Amino acid sequence: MSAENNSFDEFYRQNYEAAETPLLSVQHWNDMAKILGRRPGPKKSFHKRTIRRVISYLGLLAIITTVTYFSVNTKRVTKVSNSTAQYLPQRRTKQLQKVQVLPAFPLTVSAPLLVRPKKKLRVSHSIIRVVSDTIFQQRPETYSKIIPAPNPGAGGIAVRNFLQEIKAPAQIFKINPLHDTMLFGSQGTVIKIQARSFVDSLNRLVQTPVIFELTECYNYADMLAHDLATTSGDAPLVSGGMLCLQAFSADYALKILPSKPVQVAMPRENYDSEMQLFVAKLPTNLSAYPVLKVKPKAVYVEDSKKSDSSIFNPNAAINWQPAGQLQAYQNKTAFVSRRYIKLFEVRQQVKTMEQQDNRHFIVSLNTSIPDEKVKLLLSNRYAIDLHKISLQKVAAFDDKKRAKNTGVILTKTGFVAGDSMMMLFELALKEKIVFEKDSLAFMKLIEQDRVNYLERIRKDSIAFVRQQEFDNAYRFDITGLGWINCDKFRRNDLERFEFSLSLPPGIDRRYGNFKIVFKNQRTILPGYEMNGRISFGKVPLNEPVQLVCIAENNGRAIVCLKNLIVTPAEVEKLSFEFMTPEQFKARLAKL
Amino acid sequence: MKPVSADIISGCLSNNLNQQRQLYEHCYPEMVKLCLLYSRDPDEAAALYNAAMLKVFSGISGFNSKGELMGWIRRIVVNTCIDDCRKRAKFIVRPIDDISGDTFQINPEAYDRINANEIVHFIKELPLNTALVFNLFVLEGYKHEEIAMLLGISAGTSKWHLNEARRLLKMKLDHSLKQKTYAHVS
Repeated sequence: MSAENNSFDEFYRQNYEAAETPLLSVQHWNDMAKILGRRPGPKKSFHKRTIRRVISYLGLLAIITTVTYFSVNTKRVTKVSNSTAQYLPQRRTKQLQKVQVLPAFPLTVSAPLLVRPKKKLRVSHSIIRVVSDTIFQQRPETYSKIIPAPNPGAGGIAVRNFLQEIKAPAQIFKINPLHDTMLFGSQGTVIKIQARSFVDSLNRLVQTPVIFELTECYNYADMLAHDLATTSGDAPLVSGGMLCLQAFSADYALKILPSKPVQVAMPRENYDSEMQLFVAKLPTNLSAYPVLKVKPKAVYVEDSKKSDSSIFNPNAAINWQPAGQLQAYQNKTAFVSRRYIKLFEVRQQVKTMEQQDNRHFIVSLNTSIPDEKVKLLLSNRYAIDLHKISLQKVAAFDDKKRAKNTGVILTKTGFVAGDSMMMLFELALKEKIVFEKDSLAFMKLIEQDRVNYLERIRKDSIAFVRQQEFDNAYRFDITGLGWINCDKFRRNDLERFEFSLSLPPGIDRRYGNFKIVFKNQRTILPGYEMNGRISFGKVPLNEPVQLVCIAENNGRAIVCLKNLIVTPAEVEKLSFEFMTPEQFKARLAKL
Repeated sequence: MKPVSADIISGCLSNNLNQQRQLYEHCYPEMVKLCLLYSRDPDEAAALYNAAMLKVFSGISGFNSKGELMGWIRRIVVNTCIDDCRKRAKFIVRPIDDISGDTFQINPEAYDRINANEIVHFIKELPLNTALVFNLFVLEGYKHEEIAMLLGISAGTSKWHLNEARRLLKMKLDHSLKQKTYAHVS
């Protein structure tokens, strides 16, 4: 049986060997070549491709890391700092009205101080707040090592009293919280407060008269007197001015409703669009101090036994944080999505097509130019005989209003400028000034008109920015009282290094006030004791600064003012001298 | 079959596409004919051949020059075909009792009247699993135990498929002879 089966198998094996061999197909080799082209293995361009892929992957990784870092930081800011969140943009529901307010100093004035204006001021252009890009540049707090002692006791009284004497007194206003109010500070600050915006600590609306205190710090003397510095974390800032706003009712501190922000306009010297709002934030271990529950006493007491936490000035530990408000402007009348048409041009073109001889123009009834002059202008512009021009005046508009510093009259439906006007195409159809065929025949014209309109809006926006530049003020909306700062980050410092000085013997480091002020830009960096020296952190190289040291010696305040150029070497041989507060203030005023 | 020259082997070692093409064309007739036994159509056979040659080109550096290259390539081709068939085939376990003890004797007329191409055609008409076992046993010389190990089946199942292949082939062969006889008479 096996032999028979073997013969059977042998028969098939032999026949298989003798079977036709298939012909080679070029297509099969082409498929093979494609496979060989894709198969892994070292090739000429393999290394280049690999390097490119690695670079692209690294780039993608860097982008993802950056985005994640920013998003995490944003969440951290909005979650952690509630005081910052309340400064974020709020929708403005009602425009403020200018009222006359008299400072209520002395407080015994009982006559009605507030007058509601009869005519409402309508503002067509207003400021908007945009989120700052620098809000993500916060650095971790490093205050754990540099916070001064909160209760220094008897020490440092001389220094604090010295600073107290050069402080400008806070400006006090008595206002009616039920009316809109506008306050004018002595150094140019303008504050607009909406009616019914003050609440007490239990969020109850305050209806009794409110004592509003305003402290302005626009120069070095005032800033140093209040022991203020311009740093955000470790980053130095350039200040445009600092304000402290406080409101009291029966000596208890009040708050502002977040839905009714206070508008603050701070005077400026040189307009800088990078200026933004910073709010004061105290370290967590000084959390008892950010909001004053009761009105503080005006002068520090010398009795060390009665010294309490109110003696400690928490301003020295303020860390400025960006509140997310930059200087930017929005044109509320810019309906970019709408399509406007110049009736003047359209009708002129239509008539040109129908009647070659006569020209019919539509002009605004609101124009102040006489008809004859309009005809003369049109004749010169289009080279048409004067007698062939006919005018049609359209009075479709009322409630006219002239835009500030422009020759354009803004109406509900369009613009009137000179003898021409623009209006919505739909409205022109309704008024039978143009017809449906016009929209088809002059579609190109309409499109060009839209382009021109957008260009004009762009130019207008620039004009408004320039206009605001001449307003001499930085404007912010704030929803929390306390210290605010108009600042920007220093971005041009190429090289920074640790700057420190050593004090001569006999100077008590614990109670001194050490700062350096920059001469080119308004920046104040505080100094803290580290390893027996006074360190100012990282300071730009070759920066001209003035060292301002106020120390205590034998119960007397002594001062050291020294001009320096920042170098890596440690500053030594400081000479302190006795100086009256007036002399000190005069020296600082020269900076 | 002509032996492969050393130049072609060295060219393939350096990934020279021209040399690879020469080797591909050199092996094509023999190997594609082999692949045809394990596939349903020429295109599928070419795909199997390409997959096998890709393995050849990738692993030619590991080829021992002392052996015969064509035998090595044939082994790769067969293994590639077996892998492909194993993926597709689903064997039913057959008890050894089902294997009949029939013997298949070739009609002597078949040697004269059946050509080789018809034989190959008959094999391709067999069921896939049966043809696979038949090819491995008859053409490649595997034993039942080896086939069982290759395909993951029992030796009894392998025997059953071989017996079934012989039975079907004999039936087709007789049927073909009858058709040719009647056609000649008419």
